[in-house]
Amino acid sequence: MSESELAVIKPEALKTYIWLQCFDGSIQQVEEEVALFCPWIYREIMKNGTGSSKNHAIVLPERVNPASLSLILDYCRFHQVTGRSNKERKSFDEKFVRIDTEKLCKLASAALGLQLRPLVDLTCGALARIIGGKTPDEVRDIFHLPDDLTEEEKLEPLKNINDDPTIRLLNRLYAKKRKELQERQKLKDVQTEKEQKDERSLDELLCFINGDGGSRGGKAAKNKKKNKRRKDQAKNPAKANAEPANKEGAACVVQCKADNGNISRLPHQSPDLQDDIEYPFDEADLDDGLDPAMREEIDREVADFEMKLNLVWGERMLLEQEQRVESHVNKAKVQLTGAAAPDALAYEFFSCVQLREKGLIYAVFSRGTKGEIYTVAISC
Amino acid sequence: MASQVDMFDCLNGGERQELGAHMSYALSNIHRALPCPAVSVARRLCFLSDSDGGGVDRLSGLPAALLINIVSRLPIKDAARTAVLSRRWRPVWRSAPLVLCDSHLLRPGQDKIPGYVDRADSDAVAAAVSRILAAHHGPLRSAFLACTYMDRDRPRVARWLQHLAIKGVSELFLINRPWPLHLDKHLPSTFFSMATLTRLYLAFWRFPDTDGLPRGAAFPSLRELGLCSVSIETRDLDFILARSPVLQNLCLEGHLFTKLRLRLVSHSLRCVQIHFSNIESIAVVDAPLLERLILKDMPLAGSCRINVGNAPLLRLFGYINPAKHVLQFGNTNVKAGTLVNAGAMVPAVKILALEVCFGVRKNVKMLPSFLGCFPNVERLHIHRKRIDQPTGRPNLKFWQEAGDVECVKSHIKMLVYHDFRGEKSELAFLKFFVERAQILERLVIVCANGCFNSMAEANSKVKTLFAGKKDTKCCALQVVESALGEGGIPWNYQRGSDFSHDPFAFIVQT
Repeated sequence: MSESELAVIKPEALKTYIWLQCFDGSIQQVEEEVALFCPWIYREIMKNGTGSSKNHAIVLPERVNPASLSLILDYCRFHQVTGRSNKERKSFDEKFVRIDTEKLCKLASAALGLQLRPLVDLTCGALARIIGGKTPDEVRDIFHLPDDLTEEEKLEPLKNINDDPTIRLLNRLYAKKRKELQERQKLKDVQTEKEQKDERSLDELLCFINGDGGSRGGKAAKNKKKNKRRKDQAKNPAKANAEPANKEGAACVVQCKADNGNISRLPHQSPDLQDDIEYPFDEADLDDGLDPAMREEIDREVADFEMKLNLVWGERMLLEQEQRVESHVNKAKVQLTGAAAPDALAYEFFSCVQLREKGLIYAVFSRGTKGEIYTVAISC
Repeated sequence: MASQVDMFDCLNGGERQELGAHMSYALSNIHRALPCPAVSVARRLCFLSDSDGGGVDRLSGLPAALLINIVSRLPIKDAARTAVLSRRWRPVWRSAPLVLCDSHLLRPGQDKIPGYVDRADSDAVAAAVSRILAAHHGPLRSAFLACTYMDRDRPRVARWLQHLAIKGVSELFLINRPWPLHLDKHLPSTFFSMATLTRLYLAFWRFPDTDGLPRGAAFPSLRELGLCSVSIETRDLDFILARSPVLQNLCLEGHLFTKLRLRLVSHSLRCVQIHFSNIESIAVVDAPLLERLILKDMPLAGSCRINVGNAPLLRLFGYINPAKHVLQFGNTNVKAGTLVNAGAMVPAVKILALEVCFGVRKNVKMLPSFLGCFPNVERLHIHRKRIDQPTGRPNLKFWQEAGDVECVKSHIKMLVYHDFRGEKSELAFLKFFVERAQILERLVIVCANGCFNSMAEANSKVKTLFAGKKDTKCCALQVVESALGEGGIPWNYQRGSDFSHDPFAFIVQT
């Protein structure tokens, strides 16, 4: 039906042709309706008025070579006819992409140059179907790709899915921070331990003398401290009870949960201890052997990030409440928002955060059931 | 609101079993009906190498846009593997918009959604999905999640939704599977912050509560919405229709949980498909662009009121069943013997499909009135429905005495009669039709599977219809046997929304 329509407007004899010139100088003519199917050619004709004669041929972009051009024109010639069914078009397309890989690549490039979107999609789809299901070695074979990655680089995705260097750096930061916290903790523990030991021995003696059990020794000690030593009042009681838990905490595993719950419920608690929740990370990550320059950079990054984090906390949008959130985690969160301390990098579970005005800062720190971390941070 | 929870709890064993059976039927329907993801593990192309050899790398020389296009068409595992191909390819994976299809993550990866999934497999796949969503920083074109028991870990699903919202996903298929099934818990309302969402299909969830949503919550780009066995209230659906300015296709499937009164008010809606659902009433209030309204299979007892108001472009309407549907115009129902006036007509409908129990007198009597409401029908599909026990003897003289029906007389060009069994009541109707239809061009009779001993027998029965026809203008007659069992027409949503084809003309021949 379309043919007869055309016949009314354009008798056979007056069929117009468009002249196209490839970068290598060769010129060919093609029916107008076929050429107009290409958006790029259409625009050239409309904009510059070229192509109507041999001397004013349309100069095609460089990536369109003559072989690809003839294929493209075949494609256009078939598809510009309106009466065809979807089935016919599909089977034509199927046969059309059965060419060798080199030609296919060139065709894809040429189609992109002429902005012929359906053909770009068709060729890329065909290339994808060739690549799919094959191992990287096989793909390199087929397409003659250079094997220029080091073994280490190749292995990275397998070992650590967060192979983005930023991510790895951030992971290191946290691990480092944690380590520092831990060390600080240990120092305090050592101090308290010393004091404790002394006191305990006395207390124990006293208790023993008074006939109390060992477990109550601490409390008795606490009372005594309150009465006698005002200075250490704030710290000691907490540490006395916290100390055994801390020791376990330092060993770092998920079992700490129960103890941490105890910690957070204690009335007197120093800010340092609050954040000493868990370190369910691989200790091996900490040994990164960074030189001082890197360390500085890391410190800067950390400060930067925590600043962003504070911003983010302040403008946090409505998030879905976790259904399995344990009570101590909630409490820690509340303390975090209030504290805004440098040590407030405790990775509890907080979900994706989105800042619309300032672009996307999206940090997902999660702790899986096995204690893994999915740490992804992107800032822009 | 609590009725859903109670619904399960207060059912006894037998009822629960029946509901369970409905739901597994709905589940398999849904899997079959969903559109396929754009990326496939199965469609491979054999490569042809150029005979000159040369061994030149043409692929890496392609512009980045093309490499990204290629990688975005790969299934997720293959896409991740391209990161180790060569230096040029390393950054491509991270920025390519991917299609995440969780059936590809099963071992072995497959395209079709499996009917049954092991708990262990489900957990593995869910963990993999979480990892991928966390690790891939680039945009995500579409997410097709249908292989996990999502109610085992709701917080995880909430996290997925947040990831997807941030990544600007444009097609989301979140297909849950029972059991466990917590239809008392609402889904999070993260969908409303997915501004780029064009296609959304949900199955076996409870739709987020639209009551507490902020004023700006909307679906600005949503073109296609499928709610399959989703527990949703009337007001939620009204909210969605009101806040989806470009919605074209709406599919409701397996709606078994709440009473729904569908009010179609939308200036963009083109096609509405309702399958296997228990809908109280459908009111096409104001749908100026609505072209197709397809209803199929109402599983539970009860009738559905259909009120067609402003739908000037409604071309295709079916399967109306006089036994289950009550056509209503304004406030009056169309009853047997009603003389239909101009106000109670839908003049735009060109393709009509009816399901009729010819053994039931009442239904047969309704037929002329129903047909009278659609005066310009050109193509009529009649599906014969079986009934368990016939109610009285059918009145064969009814058709001889019936008056003229406008569409039959002057508009119908093609009649397709499905599930022909050669019964007297059927023959009476067909005879009426053949004699009164003046411009009938084609008559297709699809015989029920295995009903006749041979095609010759079927042919002879049909030929009797033409015995009395004295007229000159002949129409083409085609008698075929259906390969499908009774009522077993597999449906998929794409067939319903493909505007170039008649979805009712689906005949599978032996």
